[in-house]
Amino acid sequence: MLITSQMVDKAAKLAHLILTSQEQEWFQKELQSIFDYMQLLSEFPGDLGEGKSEDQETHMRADVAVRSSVIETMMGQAPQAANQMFVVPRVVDKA
Amino acid sequence: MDKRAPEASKLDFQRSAEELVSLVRRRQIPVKEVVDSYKAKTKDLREKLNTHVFYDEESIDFQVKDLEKRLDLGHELVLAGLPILVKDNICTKGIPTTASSKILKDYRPPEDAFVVQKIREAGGIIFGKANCDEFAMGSSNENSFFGPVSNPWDLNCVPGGSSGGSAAAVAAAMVPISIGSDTGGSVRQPAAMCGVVGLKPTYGYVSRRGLIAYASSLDQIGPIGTNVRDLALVLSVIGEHDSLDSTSNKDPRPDFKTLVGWSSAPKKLRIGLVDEFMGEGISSQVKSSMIECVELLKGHGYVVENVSIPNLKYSLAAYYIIATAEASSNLARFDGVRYGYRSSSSVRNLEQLYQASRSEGFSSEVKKRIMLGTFVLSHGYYEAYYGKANKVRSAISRDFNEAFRSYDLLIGPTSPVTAFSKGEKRQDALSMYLLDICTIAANLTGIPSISIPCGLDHKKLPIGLQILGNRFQEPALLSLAQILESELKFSSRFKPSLHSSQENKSFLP
Amino acid sequence: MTSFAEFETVIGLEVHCQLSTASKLFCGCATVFGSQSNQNTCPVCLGLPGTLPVLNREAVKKAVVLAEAVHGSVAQVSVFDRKQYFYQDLPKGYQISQFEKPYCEGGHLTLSSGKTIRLKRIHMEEDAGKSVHRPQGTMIDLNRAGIPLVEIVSEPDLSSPLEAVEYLKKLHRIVVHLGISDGNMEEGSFRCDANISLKLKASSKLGTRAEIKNLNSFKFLEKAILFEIDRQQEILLSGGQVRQQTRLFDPSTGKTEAMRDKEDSDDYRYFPDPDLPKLVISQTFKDAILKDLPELPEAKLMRYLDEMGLSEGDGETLVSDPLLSRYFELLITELSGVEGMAPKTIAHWVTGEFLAAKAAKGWSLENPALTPRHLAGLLKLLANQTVSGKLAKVVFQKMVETLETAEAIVKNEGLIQITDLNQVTQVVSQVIDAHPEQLREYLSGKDKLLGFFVGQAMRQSQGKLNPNLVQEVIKEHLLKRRGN
Ligand SMILES: [Mg+2]
Ligand SMILES: [Zn+2]
Repeated sequence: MLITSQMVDKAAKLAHLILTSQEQEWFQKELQSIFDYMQLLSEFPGDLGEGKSEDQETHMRADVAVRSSVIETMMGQAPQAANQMFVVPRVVDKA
Repeated sequence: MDKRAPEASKLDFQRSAEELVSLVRRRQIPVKEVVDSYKAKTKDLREKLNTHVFYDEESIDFQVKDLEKRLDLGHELVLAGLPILVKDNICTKGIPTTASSKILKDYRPPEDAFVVQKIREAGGIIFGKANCDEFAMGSSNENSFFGPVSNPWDLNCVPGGSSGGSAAAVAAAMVPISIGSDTGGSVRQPAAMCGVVGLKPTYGYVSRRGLIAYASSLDQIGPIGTNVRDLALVLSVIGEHDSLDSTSNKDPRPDFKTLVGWSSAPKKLRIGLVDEFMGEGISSQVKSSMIECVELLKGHGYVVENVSIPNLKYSLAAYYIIATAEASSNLARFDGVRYGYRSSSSVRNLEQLYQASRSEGFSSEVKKRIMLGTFVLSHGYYEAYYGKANKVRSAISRDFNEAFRSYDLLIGPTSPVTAFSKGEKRQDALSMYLLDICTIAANLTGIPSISIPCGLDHKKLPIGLQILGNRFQEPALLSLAQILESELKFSSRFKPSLHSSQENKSFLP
Repeated sequence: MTSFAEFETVIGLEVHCQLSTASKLFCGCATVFGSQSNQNTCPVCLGLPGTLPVLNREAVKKAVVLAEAVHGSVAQVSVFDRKQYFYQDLPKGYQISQFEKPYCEGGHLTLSSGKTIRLKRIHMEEDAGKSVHRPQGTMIDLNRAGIPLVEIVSEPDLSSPLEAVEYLKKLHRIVVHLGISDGNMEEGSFRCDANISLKLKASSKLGTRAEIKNLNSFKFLEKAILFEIDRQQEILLSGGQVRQQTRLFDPSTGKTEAMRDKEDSDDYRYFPDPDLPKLVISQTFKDAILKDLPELPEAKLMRYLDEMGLSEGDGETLVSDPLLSRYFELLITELSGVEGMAPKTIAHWVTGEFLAAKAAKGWSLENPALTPRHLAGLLKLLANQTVSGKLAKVVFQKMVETLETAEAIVKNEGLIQITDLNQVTQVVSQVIDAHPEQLREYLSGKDKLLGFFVGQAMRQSQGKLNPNLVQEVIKEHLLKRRGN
């Protein structure tokens, strides 16, 4: 598969990263070599069934409300906080 | 190996953790004395090796005082007085936990990780935080916000990674035990490159709670030490079921403390030498060291045969897809909103805040893996990559199950090469990723694996032998490891130089 | 040229319903509403590094009950996935939800018209936090982050605002009735997204849909759909194309407004959450839950109508609130073995007099001042004809005011029904004699006036006479006079 710069851009956008043009170029090259290597997978016979199995009984907890007291500490080290809330630049989009 | 110190009070760095604990518990050495000697050693070497990202004597002294009180009260403490260095991707309450990343530069977790909690309860002393590759992404410890770690056997060389600080500190006797995490070999590979013992337990054996996730389905915490028995001791403490980790296994664990003769040699063992671990890309010296070990085992009367795990050839590709896919998701929470690094550059909106904080907070290697993981999960590529990788994963599991039908344990090298010079492989992702070729299988399949030092190469750098067992076969794994250990007598024969070799200097960037 | 009448409305609803649990879906934080900002948070729901989710068993139980109630099939193995996107109040950068393998597939609800609305699926997921937008920035409160939800997705089988509202009400009744959710719509415990599109009647091809987000009342749902139909019709009739959009309903204007276009870049990259093993819901687990499953509202309604002979209106009213139907059933139990008291009459008392008094007095249904036993006392007097129906209403009003027993009121106020033939005959004679005009008319064939005499007799006795007896006696007297 050919890794195009558009593909790198799209992944960066989804990952919320901005890349320098240097990084852009380097990632494209590195990703290309990794995907070339992954080409190996096409030789793998694909119909060997499901992913990781072992259905162990699901671990569930009892419905008991427990009070945690970490919020004060966490507010103390939040990048920006006011009135016991985390603050980010105003978001215009309503929902 | 077991030579007695002339006086009990004099600390000998040759002592095992087990012995130290028993001396402390019998009050034959004051805790303070044990701790002081390791403090001195740490002070001596930590800057030279850059093994620590956080070290605070005051907090150590505080723990010592607390421990003395508990000992006075007659508490039975399995790790009493044992200095333990913890990898920096494992949460320590109130103590910086950064995973060697700028994005968590000043982060102080409000709670201890499960393993840290268990260590404290058992009387262990948290002896600082170990340098590692950022978010455990790396195989050389060169990818740390706090700079690379040096290998005690040759300061120009990398210690391996990602638990490089943890392994190097044990090799340099700065602590008897350290804790690392292993996602694709991150405990075993640096242990091999630093000439110490490293264990990756069965997936689900040790709780991951408080371990900053790299790849949740592969991550497992494991101990690093100078000998096999010490690892069993630590495992018995950190390896309890944790009801707050849904992937923590509920089955009862073997009790290494009381299991009489767990280390005695099994009469009959069938051992498989994995073909795929002896092929292309494995250095000839590593190979010949393996052959020597095979002979040794045969001399013990064990059956050693070659065995093939045919689907292993796909393992690295599958591993990097699964690991980066999970990582891209696990690292999404680092967004500069609630904790950690927030860019100070002026941003106009939330999206810019995300982008600036993440782009400035993550290193290029981390960004690259996030991008790779994002890509393989994205629309149109999921089946071809992530889907396929999981099928490979199952196929490899089936292969191993098959092999374990015929063999009790499997062996092979831990790392295809010994420690290399800093900077040597940084430019080429693939060559770096190939360093994990022998270790990732245990993570993909969840089986336990241990690396023990088995010799030196011509540059006097350690070679590691890996033993793999079936799920929850830790007792058998550790037994064989101990047999080999006592035959090889590595730690009494060889000591790290703590110097740089001339010939490697040229590789420095 | 396309005209109005050629369009058909196609509606599918996605309902988010909060499960009634004490703690969140994956951590132990309380789910109480109205706490101080971020008080109900912990390392897990704050998304701190190293934290892990552990599933709440009660949430799974409630979810399974719902699946059963809507005839869905519960998957023995389902999977929690991560739905990945960045949002200020989504702490982990992903929402734990179910995508590929939800815990419930299929199911249906039946509307009163008999039309079946198919369900596509139901899945469990965690809620996000809340943002408060201030001029100086957006403030984030994570108390809601991690609250357990089920998302109930219907097929696009609804074809009018009324059907949509009825469907939503039916669903609401089920979750409230079975204790799956408190159903509180103002607090966001029950809200829905509506997917609306228009298609040509002649065509089988669905139109482009708009998704209206977060409708938290039945009225809003109705209004939003009505507005959307108009809006889309206008676009289509003028030859335009509806855009695939997420829209928001503004209750103050009654309009929907575009929030954003659905983009190709909406790529949630779902994958199984590696922190959570597959969810195995075994038959044993299911059996244990369903053993104590309360009666479904539909079944209850059928029982009320078919077995008890209630009127449809009364049945619907009783079933709409589990506490009300419980009140009714307690009353039935109290009155079991009492002759002359049909369930239909009892129901009528509950939905009529009792509900009116409840509203007037502001009683709660959980703990009404007038208990079922209390009311049963009155109805027993009615059944054995100690009081007439009319008198019973008088007694009831006094009970509401004084909360005394019916017996005491009847005794103290002398309200006992007169069944003595002599006394009745006496009053009847008086009444007939006092109305010669009406008597003449009656005798000349105006049979309807029988009721008039009965009424007069009852009035004269202040309602104390047994009305049946009165009727009988009057008939007898009048016949006698006719015969003369
Ligand atoms: Mg949803
Ligand atoms: Zn919480």
